[in-house]
Amino acid sequence: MTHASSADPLLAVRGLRVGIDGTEAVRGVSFAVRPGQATALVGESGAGKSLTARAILGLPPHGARISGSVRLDGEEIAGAGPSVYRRLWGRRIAYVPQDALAVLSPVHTVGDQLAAAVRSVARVPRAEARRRAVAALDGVGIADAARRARALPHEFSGGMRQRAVIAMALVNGPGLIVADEPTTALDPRVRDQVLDVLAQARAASGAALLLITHDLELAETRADEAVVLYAGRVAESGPAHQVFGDPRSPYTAGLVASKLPGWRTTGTARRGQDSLSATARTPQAPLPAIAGTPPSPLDLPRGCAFAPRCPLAAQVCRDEEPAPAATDPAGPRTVACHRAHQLPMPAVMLYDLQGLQDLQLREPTG
Amino acid sequence: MTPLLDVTDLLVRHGDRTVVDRVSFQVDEGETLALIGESGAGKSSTALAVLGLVGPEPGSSVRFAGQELTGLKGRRLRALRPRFQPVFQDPYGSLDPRAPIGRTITEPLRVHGRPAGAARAAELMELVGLDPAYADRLPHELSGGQCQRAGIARALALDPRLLVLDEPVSALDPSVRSGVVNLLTGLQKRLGLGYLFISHDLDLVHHVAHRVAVMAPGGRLVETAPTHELFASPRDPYTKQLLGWAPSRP
Ligand code: SF4
Repeated sequence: MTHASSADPLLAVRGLRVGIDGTEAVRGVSFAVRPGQATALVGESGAGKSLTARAILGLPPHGARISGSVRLDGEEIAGAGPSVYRRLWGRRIAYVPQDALAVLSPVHTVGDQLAAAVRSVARVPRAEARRRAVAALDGVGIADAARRARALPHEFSGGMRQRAVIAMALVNGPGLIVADEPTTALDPRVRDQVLDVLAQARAASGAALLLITHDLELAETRADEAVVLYAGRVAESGPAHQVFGDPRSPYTAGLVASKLPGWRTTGTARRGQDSLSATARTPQAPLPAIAGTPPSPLDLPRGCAFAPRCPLAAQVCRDEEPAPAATDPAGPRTVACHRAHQLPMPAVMLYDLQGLQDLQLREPTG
Repeated sequence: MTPLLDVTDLLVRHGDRTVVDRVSFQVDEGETLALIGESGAGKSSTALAVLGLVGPEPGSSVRFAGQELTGLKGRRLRALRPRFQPVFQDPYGSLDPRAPIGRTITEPLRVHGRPAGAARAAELMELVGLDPAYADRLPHELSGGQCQRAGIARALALDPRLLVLDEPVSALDPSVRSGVVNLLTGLQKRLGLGYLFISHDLDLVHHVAHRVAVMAPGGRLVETAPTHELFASPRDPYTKQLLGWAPSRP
C-alpha cells in the first residue's frame, strides 16, 4: 500500500507505448491526473486516445503490446493482467463507455446489476447492496429510483442509461473514472444534462476523471487539464482553458481556428480569434481549415507527424520528431513543436490566409 | 419563380405512427434550407420521403422544379432521379468497401447509361478536392474526410440540382470537418445547388443555412424562418427551448 500525498498524481502515465500487429499506435504518451481533477484526453480517430484509455483500464485489444509506465496511486500497473486489475476495477478505477450497453447486460434489471457490482467488492447483505444501488441511481438524478431500479436497460432512454452507467461506475467509490466519449451518442441537450450529473456525482465523491473525447468544446468546458494527442503522441498539454484559449501547438491552433463560429457568439469577437478577418464570421464564408488528413499509424511521415499539414513546417520538422517540452520552466504547459517559440500571437492566425501572407512565414534559412 | 423543391403537406407514417406530420417547405436554387430538431423528430424520414425512398401518404406533394414526384413511376421517375441526390452521415458505410473509389464515384453514371470513364472520375475527384491518384484506393485506405469527399463526388456525378444532406459532417474528425463544410458551401456557390440540410448541430446550421425549418417531435414543422431571424428571435416555444432560450424539460 502506497500513501500518496494530495500533490502527487493519482494517475501518472510515462512514455506509454501500445503496439498492435506490429504498428505502434500510441508512441510514448506522458501525462498525469491529480486527485479529484478532470483531465481531457483529446484527439481524432487514430490519434491513440482510446487505446491509451484501454491500456490504462487493463482492457487492451487482443494482442496489444504495452510498454512504458502507468502508475495508479504509485502502483505500477502498465500491462498488468486481469488478476491485478480485478482488484482495481470498480474500487479504484472505473469505466464509462460510449455505449452503455457495452457494460449493462440486457437481461438483468438495472438495480440488480448495480447491486451485483456492490457485492462484487463489499461483503454486504443483499438488502444493503440494493439500498446502495438505489441510492446511486438517485445520486445521478434518476427520479423514483426505487421503481426505476426494477427496469431493464432497454426500458431506459439513452440519457438515463448513461446515467445508470455513471451510477455503476461510482457506486464503489473509485478514485478515477475513465470515460470514453461518454456522451457522443446523445442529443446535445441530454448530453449537457448527463455531463452535469457526472460533474455533480464526481464533486460528491471526489473522484478524478479521465475524459476521452474528440470534442474540443467538451474538453474546454468540462476538464481542468487537457492533453491533446496527434498520431499517437502528445502535441500539447496544460490547463484546458489555456490550451484551447491560447494554443501553443500548430495542430491545436488549427483545431481551434477551424471551429465553427458559435451561433451565440457570432458578431462578437471570439477569444483568441480577434485577428480573423470579419468575413470569416459571415455565414457561408470559408472557414479557416487544416489542409490534408490525419496520417494512418501504418504510414506515418518521417519527423513531425503533423508536418505535411502544418503551415509552419520547416526542414527540421521533416527530419526530426519534436519531443514534448515545457513552454516555460515553471509553467504547467508542454508542447511538442520545433517552432513553438516562433508561433504568431494568437497562434490561430496561422490558419488565417490573410494573416499568413502578412506574416510571410518562411522557412528559416541556414 | 418555381422553387427547386416544393414540398406540401408531406405525411409519412410508420405503421399507425405519424413520423412526418403534414409538412410544407421549399428550397430554391442556390439555397440551403436546414431542417433541425432532436433525433427521432422525423428529420431523416422527411429526407427519405423527398428522395422517394419511403412512400408518403396520399395527399402529400413533392414537386421538383414544378414536376410532381409522388406517384411517379418507371421511366419518368428515373429521368428525374439524377436531379436530386443524397449525401449521408457515415462516410465509410455509404461506400462499397470492395470497390475502388474512382469506380464508386462514377457508379451512378453507369446506372444511368452515361459515359463513366477515368477522365470523368478524375474531374469529379478534383471538384471535391480529392487527388485523382486515389481513384484506385479502397475506402478503408482513405480517411473519413476523404471518404466523405468521395461520397459528395458520387452525389455530383449526375449533375444534380439538389442535394439532400443528412448530417454530412457530424461523423468527421474535427481537423477535416471545416474543410468539408467549405467544400459544400463552395460547391453551392459554384454550381447553384439547392441543399436540404439536416443536422442537429446548431453552430453548423447557423453557418451554412439561408433558412431554417424547426421540426418538433411528432414530425411537425413549428417554425420556418431566415437563419438570422430564427436564431435572433425564435417565435415558437419549441424553437426557444431547442435554442436554450427556455428551460428544457427534465
Ligand atoms: S514541429 Fe514543425 S511541423 Fe510539427 S507542428 Fe511544429 S512547426 Fe509544425
